[in-house]
Amino acid sequence: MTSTTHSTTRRFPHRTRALWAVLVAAALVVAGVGLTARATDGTSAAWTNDVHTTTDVTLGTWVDGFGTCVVRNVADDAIVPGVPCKITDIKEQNVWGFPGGMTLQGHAYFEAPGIAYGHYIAFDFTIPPPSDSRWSWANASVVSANNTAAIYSGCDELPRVVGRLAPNIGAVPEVFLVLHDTRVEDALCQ
Amino acid sequence: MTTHPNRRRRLALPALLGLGVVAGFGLVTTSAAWTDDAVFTVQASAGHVDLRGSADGSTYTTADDVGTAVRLDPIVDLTPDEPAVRTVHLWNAGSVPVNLTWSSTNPTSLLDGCVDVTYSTLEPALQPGQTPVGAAVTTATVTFTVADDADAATCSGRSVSDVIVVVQGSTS
Repeated sequence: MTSTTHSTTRRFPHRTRALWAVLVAAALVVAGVGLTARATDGTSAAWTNDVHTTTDVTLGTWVDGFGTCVVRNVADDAIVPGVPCKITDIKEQNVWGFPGGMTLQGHAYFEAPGIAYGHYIAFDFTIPPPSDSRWSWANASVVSANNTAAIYSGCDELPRVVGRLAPNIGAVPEVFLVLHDTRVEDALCQ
Repeated sequence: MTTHPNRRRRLALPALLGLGVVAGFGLVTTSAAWTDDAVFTVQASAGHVDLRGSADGSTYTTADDVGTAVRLDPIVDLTPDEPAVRTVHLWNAGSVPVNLTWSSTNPTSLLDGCVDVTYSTLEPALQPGQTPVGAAVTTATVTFTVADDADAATCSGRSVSDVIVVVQGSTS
């Protein structure tokens, strides 16, 4: 009886101590994990640095689509079926002078994969607005065009240009045009 | 020879405490091993991150905000046939390697869709250097292109000022 009582009174403090030990161990685990998390979070924000840049953007002027072209037979001027043609670009090269004495130079570029001997390119395009806003189309004329281009359209129709290239000058030919802002006597446009 | 039950219980307490300590530090160690940032932070606590920018590759500034931004050459007369590219030179003037990324706030389109903005691939880890040479510098480019579906009537001649582009340097 005595022994039983003694045993019961001594077991209780041991359970308490064991419980404390578990709690302390758990606290250590939580503290360790928390410390790691805090260290990681704090670092993340501190270790960045940005570089800012700035610039201005201004668009030029252009027209949608450059126009059309087709591949024709020299013999009968008939369109060659299955041979496509595309105007890939029309670019101003230079514009200078004063109103009434201005000159405009530019290139039109073509692409006609499959064009063959005895074929030529016929075109119909519009020249984009020149970079010099003083240019006027009112009395303008086409002064010259390379690659033996012939111009069929009238000077009054400018900036639209209708004409043809010489035959047998390859699949990616170009035409170089020179225009004045006044009507000249020997103009290529009508 | 037989262990007394009370003695076994007395041994259990320090053993359990020791286990808790080991488990606690064990978890910290494990966490650190799985997360490079945490380990790195402790080792580099005396270091610093300092990413700088330049328009010409010779004069670098901190460019930490919009007010001190590196001004790149303006883009003029942008037309569909010719994109414009602007280059920013970057120097890691800090003491630790940094990973470079474009800010998610950078524009990918300007002027109501008239202009597309694209960005080059950035250096994965730019090494630190006391002078802007060698592995401590790199370049990044921004390309401005008239959008394929940009309408000439609505887009021609338009402009926008102070387009902000940010490169982020980070140790993570």
